[in-house]
Amino acid sequence: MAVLVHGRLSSPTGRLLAGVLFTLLVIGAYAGYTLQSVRRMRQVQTDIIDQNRKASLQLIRIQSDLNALALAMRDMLDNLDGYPLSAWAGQLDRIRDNLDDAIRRESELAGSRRDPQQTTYLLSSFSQFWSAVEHMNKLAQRGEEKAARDLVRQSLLPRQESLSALTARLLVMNNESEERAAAEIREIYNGIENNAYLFLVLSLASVVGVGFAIIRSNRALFDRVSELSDQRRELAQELISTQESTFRAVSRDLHDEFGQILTAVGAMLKRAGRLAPSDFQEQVREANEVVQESLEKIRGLSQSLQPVILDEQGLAAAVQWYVSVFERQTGITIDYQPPAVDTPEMATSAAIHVFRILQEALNNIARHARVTQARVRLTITPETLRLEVVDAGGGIPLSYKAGIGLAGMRERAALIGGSLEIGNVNPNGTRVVLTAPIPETSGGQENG
Amino acid sequence: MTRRDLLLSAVAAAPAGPGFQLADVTGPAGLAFRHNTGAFGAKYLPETMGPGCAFLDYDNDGWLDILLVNGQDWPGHQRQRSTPRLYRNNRNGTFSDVTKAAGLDVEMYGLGVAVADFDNDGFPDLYITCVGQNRLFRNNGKGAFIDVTAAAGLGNRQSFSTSAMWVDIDRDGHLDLFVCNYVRWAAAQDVFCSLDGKAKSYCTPEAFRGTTCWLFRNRGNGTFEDITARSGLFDASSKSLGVTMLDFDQDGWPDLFVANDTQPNKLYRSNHDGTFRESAVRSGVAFGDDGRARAGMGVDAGDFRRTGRESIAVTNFDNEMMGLFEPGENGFADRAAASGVGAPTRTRLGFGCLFLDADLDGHLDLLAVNGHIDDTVRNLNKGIVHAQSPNLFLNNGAGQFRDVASEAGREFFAPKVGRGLALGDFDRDGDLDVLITTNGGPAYLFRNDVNNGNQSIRFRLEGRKSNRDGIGAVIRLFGPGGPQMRMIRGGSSYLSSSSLAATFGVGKLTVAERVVVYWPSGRVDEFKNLPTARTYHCVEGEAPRALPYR
Repeated sequence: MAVLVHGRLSSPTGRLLAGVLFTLLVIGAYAGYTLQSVRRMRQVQTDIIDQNRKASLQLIRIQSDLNALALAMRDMLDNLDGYPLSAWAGQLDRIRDNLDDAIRRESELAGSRRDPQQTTYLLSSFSQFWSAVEHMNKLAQRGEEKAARDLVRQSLLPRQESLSALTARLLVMNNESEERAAAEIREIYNGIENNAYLFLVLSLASVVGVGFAIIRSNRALFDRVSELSDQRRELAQELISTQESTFRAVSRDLHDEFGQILTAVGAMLKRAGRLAPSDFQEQVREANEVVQESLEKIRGLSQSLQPVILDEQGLAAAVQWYVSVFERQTGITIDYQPPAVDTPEMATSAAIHVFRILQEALNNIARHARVTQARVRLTITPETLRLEVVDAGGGIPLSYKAGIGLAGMRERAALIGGSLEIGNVNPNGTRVVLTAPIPETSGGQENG
Repeated sequence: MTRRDLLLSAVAAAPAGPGFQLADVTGPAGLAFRHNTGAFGAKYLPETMGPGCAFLDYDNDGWLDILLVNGQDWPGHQRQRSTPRLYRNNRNGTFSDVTKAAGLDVEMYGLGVAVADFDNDGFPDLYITCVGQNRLFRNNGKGAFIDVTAAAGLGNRQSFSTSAMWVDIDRDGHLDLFVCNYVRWAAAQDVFCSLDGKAKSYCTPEAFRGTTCWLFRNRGNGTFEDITARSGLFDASSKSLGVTMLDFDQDGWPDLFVANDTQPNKLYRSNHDGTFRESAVRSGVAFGDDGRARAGMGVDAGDFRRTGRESIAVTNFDNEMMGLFEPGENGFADRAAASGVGAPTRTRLGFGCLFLDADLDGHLDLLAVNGHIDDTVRNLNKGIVHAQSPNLFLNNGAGQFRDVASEAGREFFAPKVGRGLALGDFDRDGDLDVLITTNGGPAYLFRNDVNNGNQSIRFRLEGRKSNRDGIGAVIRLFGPGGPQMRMIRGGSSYLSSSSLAATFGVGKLTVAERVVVYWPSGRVDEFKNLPTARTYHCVEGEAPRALPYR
C-alpha cells in the first residue's frame, strides 16, 4: 500500500492577519488624511469665511447706521418738524453708540487680515466726523442754527459720504477674501475626493488580496482533507481485506485440518466402540458424541468466518442461512424477505461485504435493540442491491457515538461503491439500509 | 334620577370649550357703526390703518360706554359725513348713540384714541389721533366734550398720528401725553406703489420718511408743553404705531415701549427727571430674532408668568410672527415661538393686542386681532388673506399658550380686517368683554360669558396725590399660585383705550388674602382678606369700598 506522506500544511492565519492589518492601515491612513483635511477646512471656514461674514455683517450695520445718519442730516436740513437742531442730539447719540459698537466688533473680527493703515484711516475718519458733529451740536445748543446747518451741509454730509464709500470698499475686500477662502475650500474638497477614489482602489485591492488568500488556503485545506480521507479509506480497505483473507485462511484450516482430524477421530471411536467391551462401549460412545459436537462447532465457526454457502450458493442463500443461524442463536425472530427468484448474483468478493454488513447489523440488534423480532429485506435488481435491516427497538440515542462496527459497515459499503444509511424509524427502532450497485461483470460466482 | 339623566346632566354642566364664550352682541347692543376709510381708489396709506376704539365711562355712572373712532372722506371726494361715534351704556346690554349730544359729531380723519382724566376732575377726557390735526376733548362732566386742542397748546400740528397714551412720566400727579407718529405723509405727496407693476397698491412705510413721536408734559393748568426733544424721545427715524408703558427696570418710574413699523422698536428707560435713555437694542427688544426690524403694530405688557415682571407682546406683519419679549437676567428674549404664540401668528398681520385673563383662572391670556392691509393680498400671496381670524392664546399656567380663538365663539373666530382692540366689562358680570374695530367695516362687541365658575376681583383706583385715574399704579395680588400684578395703563393695544379698572381672575377663590397698591406718588396701600366677586373703589390712602358687580 502506497501511503503519501505530506509535509505539515502551513497555517494561513499569518497571511490573513497581514491582509487585515494592511486594510486597517489603508482605512487609518485615509481617515487620518480626511480628518486633517476637515480640520484644515474648518480652520479656513472659521478663520476666514465665518470671520469675514461676521465682519461683513458689521460693515453692513455700519452702512445702515451711516444711511440713518444721512437721513437724520437730511431731516435736520429740511427741518420739517420745526424742532431746533439740538433735538437731534439724542438720535445722533444713539446712532453713534450703535456705530461705535459695530466698528469695535468689525475691527476685532477683521483682526490681522486687514492692513493696519486701513483700520487707522477708518477710525480716524469716524473720529473726525464725530468731532464735527460735536461742534455742530455746540453751535445748535448756542442757538446758532444757520451755522450748524451750514456745518451739516458743508462738512458732515460729505464726510458721511466718504465714510460710506470707505465702508463699501471694505465690504468688497471682505467679499474678495471670502471668495479666495471658498476657492481654497474647493481645493481641499477636490483633494478629499481624489483620495476617496484612491482609498476605494486600495480597499478593493486589499479585499481582493485577502479574499484570494482565503480561497487559496481553503482549497489547500480541502485537498489535504480529501487526501487524508482517501488514505484512511485505503487503510480501512486493506484492513478489511486482510481481515477477510485471515478469516478465509482460519476457516479453511478449521474446516480442512481440524475437521478431517475430528472426522478421523470419530471414525476411529466408532470402530473402537464396536470392538470395545460392553462395559466400555458407553464411554466410547460419549467420547464420540463430544467429538461430533466439536466437529459441528468447528464447522459452524468455519462457516461464520468464511461462509462457504456464499461461495457455493450465492448471497441470497447465504443471507437465508445466516438469518436462520441468527434466529437459532439469539431467539430473535427475523421476518426475512428474500430477493425474487432469478435475480443476478454478486461476485463473492463484493457479496462478502454485504454479508458482513448483515452480520454486523443483526449483531447490533442482538446486542442493543432488546427486541424479539426484526425484519430483513434483500432486493436485488440487475443494477442495484438493497439490503434493509429494521428493528423496533430503542433506536440510536442522540448521544450515540459511532463505533468501529458502524465505521466498518460504512467502509465495506464504500468498498463495493455503495452507501449505507443508518437512522431511526418512527415510532421507534433503527433502520440500516445498504444500497450498492451491481457491476456489469457480476453474475458469476467466485470461489474463495 | 336615572343613570342616563345623571350622565346627561353632567354633560350639560361641563363647561364647553375653553371655559368661556365670546358672544357677538353687536347687533342687540345697537352698535350700528361702519368705519369710513375715505377710500375712493387712490389707495392712500392712512386708509388701511384705522380705526381705534375705547371703553370709557364718560358719564361716570359706573357703566362702561363705547367710543369708536372714524375716518372721513378725503377732500375733493366727499360722499358722506362720518364722525366718531359715542355709545352710552343703557345698563341693560344695549347702547344709545349720543355722539351729537356729547359734542363729538365732528368730522376728522380719526385713527386712535387715548382716554384719561387729564385734568383730574373725575371725568374721562379724550385725545383722538388723526391724519392732520389731533384733537383733545375735555369732558365737561355734564355729558359733553369740548375741543380744547388749541387752548391746551396742542394745536397747529399736522401729522399722521396713530396710538396715543396717557402717562405721568414725571409722577407729578398730572397725566402727560405720548403720541405715536407714523410717517411723513400727505395726500399731495403720495407716491405710487404697485404690487403687480400696473395697478396702484397701498404703500408700505418704507416708501415714506419717518417722523418723531411726541411727548407733551401736562403743566397741570390745562395746557401742555412739548418736551419731545428735551426728554430725549425725539427720533425722526421712527415710524411708530403702538405704545405701552411698563416698569421694566422696576425702579418705580414709568418706562415706555414704542412699536415701530419696519424700524427698530424703542424702549425708553426713565431717568427719573422727565428724560429717557433709549435702550431697545441693548435690552433685546429692538429687533426680531433674525436681527431685522419688524413691522411692529400693537403692543401690550403683562406679567403672564406671575414672576412680578412684565413681558411685552408686539403684533407684527405676516411672515414675521408676533413678538413676545420675556424679561431675563440680560434684558429681554423673544420667546414667541417657544411659548406657542409664534406659529399661529406667522400667517397673520396683527394689530390690536392685549393681555387679559379671559377665563379668570389667574393666568394672563393674550388676545390679538388681525387683518391684512391689502385687499388684493390673496391674489399675490398664497396662504395670506385680507380678513383674518383673531388669535386668543390661553395660558396653561406654565407660560405656554394655546390658540383657542376657534373655540371661543363662531362670530368671534370669523375672519375680520381687525384693527382696534379694547377690553372692558360693559355688562358688569366680572369678566372682560371685547371690543374690536375693523378697517372699512363694522365694530364688534363680544360679551364674555365665563362658564367655568371662576371668579374675579376688580380694582378701580382714584388717585389723590397721584393722577386721579391712578395711571402708572401697580396692583399686586398675593395668593395661592404666586402673585399677580396689573399696571394701570392709559394706552396700549393699537389705537385703542381699555377700561382703567384692573381685573384679576382668581379662579374659585372667595377671598383675596393680600392686595398691595403701589401708587405713582410713591404711596403704598395694602389691603387684606378682600372677598372676591366685587369691584373695589380704592381711593389713594383710604380703605377700599366694595361694590357688587351688578
